[in-house]
This record gives sequence, structure tokens and C-alpha cells, in this order.
Amino acid sequence: MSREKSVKVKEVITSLCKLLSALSVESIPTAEAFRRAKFNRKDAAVDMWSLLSRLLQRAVALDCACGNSKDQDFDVQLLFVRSALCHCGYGATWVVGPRPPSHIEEVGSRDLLLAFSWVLSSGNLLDFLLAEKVHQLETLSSAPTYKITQGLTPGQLDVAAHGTGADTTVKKDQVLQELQWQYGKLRLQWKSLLSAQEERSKFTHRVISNISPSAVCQPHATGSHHSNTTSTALDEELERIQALNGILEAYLDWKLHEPLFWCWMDSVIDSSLADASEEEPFDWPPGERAVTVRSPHGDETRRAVRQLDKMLLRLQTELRARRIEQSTLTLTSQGGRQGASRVSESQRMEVEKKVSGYLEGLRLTNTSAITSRGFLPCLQDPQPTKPPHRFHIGEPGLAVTAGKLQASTALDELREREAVLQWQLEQLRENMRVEIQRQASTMEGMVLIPPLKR
Amino acid sequence: MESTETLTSASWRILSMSLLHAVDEAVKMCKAEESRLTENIRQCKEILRSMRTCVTETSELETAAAIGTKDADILPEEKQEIELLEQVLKKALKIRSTSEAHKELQPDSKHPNERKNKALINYTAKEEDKRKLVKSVPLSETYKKPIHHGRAGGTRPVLVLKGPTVHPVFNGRPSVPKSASAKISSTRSQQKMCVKAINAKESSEDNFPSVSCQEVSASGKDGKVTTGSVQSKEQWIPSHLLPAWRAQRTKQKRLWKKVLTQQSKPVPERTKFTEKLRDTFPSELPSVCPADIITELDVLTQRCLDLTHCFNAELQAQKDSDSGTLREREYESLQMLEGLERMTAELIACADHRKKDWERWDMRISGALCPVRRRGEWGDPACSCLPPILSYSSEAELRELESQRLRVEQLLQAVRLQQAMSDSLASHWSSGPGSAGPSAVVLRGLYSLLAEGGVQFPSLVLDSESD
Repeated sequence: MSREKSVKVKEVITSLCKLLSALSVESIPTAEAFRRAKFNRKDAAVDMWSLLSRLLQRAVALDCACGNSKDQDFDVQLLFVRSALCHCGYGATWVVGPRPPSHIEEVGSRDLLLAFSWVLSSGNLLDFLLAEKVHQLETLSSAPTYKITQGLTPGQLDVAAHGTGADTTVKKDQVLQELQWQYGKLRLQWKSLLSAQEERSKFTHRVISNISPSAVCQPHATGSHHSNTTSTALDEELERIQALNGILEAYLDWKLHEPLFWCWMDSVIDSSLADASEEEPFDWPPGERAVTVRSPHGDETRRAVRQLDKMLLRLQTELRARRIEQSTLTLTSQGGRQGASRVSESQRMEVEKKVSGYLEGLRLTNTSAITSRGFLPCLQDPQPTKPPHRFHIGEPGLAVTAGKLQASTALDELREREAVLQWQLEQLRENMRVEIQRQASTMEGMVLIPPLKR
Repeated sequence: MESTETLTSASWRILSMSLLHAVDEAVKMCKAEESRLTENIRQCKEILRSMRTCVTETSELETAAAIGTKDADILPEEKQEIELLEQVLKKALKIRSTSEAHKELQPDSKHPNERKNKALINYTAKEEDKRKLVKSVPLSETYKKPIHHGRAGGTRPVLVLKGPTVHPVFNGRPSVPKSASAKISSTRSQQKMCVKAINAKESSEDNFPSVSCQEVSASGKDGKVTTGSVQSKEQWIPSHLLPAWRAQRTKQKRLWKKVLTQQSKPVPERTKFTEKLRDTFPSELPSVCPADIITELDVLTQRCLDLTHCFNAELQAQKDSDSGTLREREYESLQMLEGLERMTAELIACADHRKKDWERWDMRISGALCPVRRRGEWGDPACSCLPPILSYSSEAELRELESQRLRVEQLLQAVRLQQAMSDSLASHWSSGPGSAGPSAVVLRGLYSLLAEGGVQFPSLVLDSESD
């Protein structure tokens, strides 16, 4: 019975290893190594270590400039692995504990195995790696777009501030000019990016429409002269798709075996706990932090937290102050006005709706759109079998049921976002206009005439 | 009531340097994305090109016959008709060579045939002849489609005729659309024949002539008949990989659908394992991990910025309009401020929560650990990070969707930059106790950048005469 079971386990682990290798994770040990790691054998430790560190390199990226994690220096690697695991929420003793190991030999293979499984189970790492592969191999996929705006998070802007080092001799004017120039460059860049995107959509559609056999094979207008260019491009494309299909099959196979794997890992936890109970339990003195090395990086986050607190507090105080001011204003002025100063009920409702729309929009811009993880386009059949009534248009989360998305739904959401963002931008600019004009009017001998609205 | 900080001049410079850096990075990102797109376009072009290969052959009349006889399973009637045609063509060639002296067409009993034959022979010479050729083929609706596609693919005439349906129906009506080239017409005729002669399963749906060519050779039959002119002809044959590619693509779609459904199913054993493992950690550790806390702090900071700017704008609007305005506007502004206050309170509660979580982690972590960020958004087991299948109905829709997507990104970037710029540059005039305020040039630059997005410039009139 147990032999059967062990064979099953081996099968399951092999399927996992196959999937990992299909996803181009390096240094994959054999299924046997996994089994040995369960029993905390020393020889399995090296294998598990390389696997864990390779996987983590694919999963996370260091946010600081210290040390290259790809160093062969094991201590640097140890630091990287510990940081990565800790930031992914792994709270084992050897990661966060008061006496962290200084050499990798001190970490047992079973601990490494547990850490490895944590990384897989606590999030969707395998799915993410699969998505990466899909975007890499599938020529027609539309990639996720978060890369473009990622440099502009407040955290990043802060980092940049400290990274450039204060060159205090630079004049204000120069910086402004430089900024104008760069901004113009950015606008131009966007224009060409948008036009490249249009063209790409065109070609994507052409290729897609060749997939179904009934499709018209659209010729490429300029490509009529190649007599003997063998289908090398098509060859490569075919290879890529075959490779991708292989990966998908490996994934499906893994999904089949997955429950067994987690059951087995349960038993690993059990054996680890059994061993641990034999040793003396380590006491965590709650207040003691005797030999803690203050992390230089922890300071940054602390500062960010403080700054956020400050900003929020200031905003709240000002809002309150304004509200009080306004209410006193209305009280004093109410006596002076005629009785018909009330806003009618219908107007009230309208205004309320408008305002809640604005505010909802503000909330919306900070969430990710339906299309934010990219998509695989697919031409719909001209006669759909049944209308997609199971999609609830109101909730963006449900609009993607079982991974199917209608272009019209996505378009609607995007248009809504566009409207909100335009409103936000216009509001900011209008604010600036008024502010600068006011400033200009206070200056002697200068008249500012704003440009005509085209 | 200004909410902008009064920054010292040095810190202003630092902030604006970081702005420059940020804009620079943005430009680099765009460039990288664009090069990725162009690479993709090139790939697609290559793929499309390699879907059909152009085979050039020169052929004589004799070879035509030879080829014709190669086709084993052409129906006997067809064969007969082919032979008939060949004879006719031979005659035509003979007549042409002998009648050159005469230079006139003798109307006789073989009227239609001859005229047609002459047309056939002269096809390369004149455009009208091409058209006649077109007309000589019975037009059906299926033929109209490719024309309306407007794809005048190759400019080389491809004359591939076969079989009997090149009927001498010569109606002489110039009703041919402009884009009809000989290629289209002739291959269309071939198509009709192909449908009859060959039981290509897909050819009936193939309206486009070049595809019909493909189907011909795809099924291995290549009946080419020429008119005897020693012209090199080309034929578009599909890549032999095309069916394999199609099969793999359909397989991929099927597999991907399966993957998506499988992914959405929860795996209870996995959650059980995660929880069990989490139980072995020290109990004070919160369930949210540090990387996620840091990301969320960023989001909260951004939201706070959004609210702050909205508040400033609202204040500004109020200041402007406090002289006898609509009560509606007043009410709106009141509501707005109320809403902002509510959202701020929410944000404060969230931030507090996160701060506590962070502190709990901070207490436990000993030893210098470097901050890491997840490379994607794989943190939440409930949210899928697999790209869904998007079904679209027309090219225009796909184009619009993808452009719209980029435009939203662009706007998002513009808003963020605008916020950062206002924060740093707007302190220009509120700082500097000794300075007389910004110069005219600087003010002009500021206006254009902050108020018009760098597109337009205001005019500054320097009033030299002081009152």
C-alpha cells in the first residue's frame, strides 16, 4: 500500500518538476531529492537550495541596490533568499528568527522544501510564470501594461529623489527648460507608440483571421516576390505554438496531481513538527530585541509610512477646517438671503449623483482595469450561439467569467476610465491656470494672456 | 489656503531632478514598448508572408498538356474539355501567328471561342483584355467578395486556367470593378473548376482566389494550363505548414480554455496546507505579507495625493466663484468636500491598519533584510493573473480596444506627472523669500507645462510703463 502511495507521490512530484522545467525554472532536482528532503537528508539540501533560490529570482525583484542576488557568494544568496521569503510572508525561524543562520549549511533540506512549497502555495506564482511564458511565446497576445506607469508610483519618485544626489548648482530655469524638453519628447513618444499599436492590431487581426479554415487568406501586399523564402517564419511560429501547447499540457497535468502534492506536503509539516517537538522549544521573549541589526531598509518604509500619515492628517485637518468655515458662512449668510435659497430636491439628487460619480472615479483610477493583465484576442464567430447574458456588466470582476471577456465590455470600462482621467487632468490643469494667472496679476508690469482654446 | 508645502530651494531642486528622472524613465519605457510592438509587427508580417509561397514557373503549351495528364482523378468529362481547350488554344496560337498580317478578326462560326482565345492570348498585353477575361468568367456573388476586399495583391498576372468553365460568354459589359486584375479573374475561374474537379474540403469556403490556388496545390493537384505564351507565371501556393499551424492554434485555444477553467477552481488541499504552515509561524505575524503591505502603502499614498489635489482644485473653484454663483454649484462643492472628507477618513483607517501590520512584521524581523517586490501580481490566490480570452467581432473593434487601452495608460501617466509637477514646481513662487518671484520666462514656461500640458504657450505682455 505504501509502495503504491510512494509511487503516486513520485508521479506527482515528477509532474511538478516537468511543469517547472517547462516554465524555464532552472536547477530542478529529481523527485528523489524531494523525498530525501522530506526526511531532512543533508545531500538533498544543495539541490533544494538552488531550486529555491532560482525560483525566487523569477518571483521577486530586489528593491534596493545592495548586492547582486546572482552572486555565487552563498552568503549574499542567503540574504536574498531570506529577504524574499520574509517579504512573501514566510515566518519560519530561519528566515525571521532572532538568530538567523549565517551560512546556508545551517538550513536543513526539509526547511528548504517547506519554504519552496510556501512560495508556490501562498500565491499564484505558477500561474504568473505561465502567463509570462504565454506572453513570450504567443505572438498575438496583448501584454499587460502596468510597466509603462510603474515608474511613477510615489515610492519610486521618492527613490529617484535620493538617487540623483542634489546638484545644487543647477539653476531653476535650466531645470524647467529641461523638463519642458523632456515632456515634449514624451508626448512625441506616445504618439508614435499609439500609431505602432494601431498597426500592430491590424496585423494581429490579419493573422488571427487566417486561423479558421473558412477564413480568407489575406495576402500581404508587399510580399509577393519571394519565391523561395521557405516558411521559416511560419516554421518558427509553429514551433513556438507547439512549445506553448506542451507547456499548457504540463500545467494541466500538474493541476490534476496538485491535491496529492499538498497532502504530501502536509505530511512533511507533520514530520517537521514531530522532530521539532523533540528539541527544546525556543522561547520568544516578546520585548527583547537584543541582537537585532537595524535594517537600513526598514527605515525607508518607516519614513514612507510617516509621510503618508502626515499627508492624510493634514488633508483631514484642512477638510475639517474648511467645513467649519463653510458652515459658519452659510449660517451668517442665511439670514441675509431670501427663503428660496434652498436647492430643489431634483437638483439635489442630480448634484449628488454627479459628485458620487466623480469620487467613484477617483477610487477607480487606483484599481486595475479588466484588461490590465493582457489578453489573448480571438475572433468571434459571426453567429454567436447564445448571447453572453451571464456576464454582469456592473461588476468588473464578474465580467470575466472563467476567463472569457467580451471586447465590448472591456471597451466600456476603458471609456469610463478615460473619462474619469480626463476629468481629473482637466481639473488639475484648470487649477494651475487660475493659480498662475493670479500670481501673474500680482506681479508688476506683466500681463499674462492665456492661449486661445482651439 | 494653500496646501502645497513650502519647500526650500534645495529640496525643490531635488524634487525636480527626480521629476526629470521620472520623465526620462517614462520616455525609455515608451521606447521599449514601441520597439516591442514593432518587433511584433515584423513577426506578424513574416508569418503572413510565409503563409503563401510564390512559385515561379515558365511553362509552354506542351507542359500544360503534360501537367494536365498528371491529374489522375480529374473526371473524364473534364479531361475531355481540357483537351478541347488545348486544341482550341493551339489553333488560336496558329491563327494568331498567321493572322498577324491580316490584322483583323474574322467573325465566323467560332466567334466566341476565337475572340475569347485571342483575348486569352493577348491577356498580358492590355488591361482591357484582362477585363475581358474577367467577363468571360461567369460572375457569381462569391466572386464579388474578394473584389470588394480590395486586395489587389500581386501585380503580376497569374493566368491559370483549367477546364471548361472558361466559357465563351462574352458579354462585353464593362462592369468590372477596378481592382480586378488578371490574377483574380483567372484564379477565380480556376476556383470554380477546382471546386468541381477536386474535392478539396475547404475550397468551397475559400472565396479568395489565392486561397483557391492554395487549395489546389494543397490537395496536390496542380493543373496549370497556359495559353502557350512563354511567360513566367507565378502561383501562390499555401505553405504546407498552414494546416498544421491551424490545427495547433485550435488546439491551443482549447487547451487555454481548459487552463482557465482549471485555474478558477479552488484547491482546498492547498489552502489547508498554507494555513497549517502559517500556524507554525509566530502568532503575532499578520497574515498579509510585507511586500503586499508596501505595495498597498503606495496605493494609499497615491489615493491621498488624488484627494489632496481634488481638494485644492475644489478650493480654487470656490474662491473663484464666491461672488453670486449658482446655489447648485455651492451645493455641489459642499457635497464634494463632504465626500472627500469621508474618503479621507476611510484612507486613514486603512493606513492605520497597514501601519500596525507593518510594525508587527518589523518587530519580528531581525537582521538586515532587503526589501523585495513581487515581479508581477501573483500575491493573491483569489485573483487570477492569467490573461483571459478576449472575443472581438471586427478588426475595428480590436483596434479601438487596444488603442483605448494605451490611451488610458497615457492619461494615467499624464495625471501622475501633472500631480508631481504641480507639487514641486508650484512651490516656485511661494518659496524664496528674497526673490522677486519668477521671471517672465519662467512663468511662461510654468504656465505652458502645468496648465496646457506643454502644448500651448501663453503670451506675456510686459507693461513697461508703470502707472
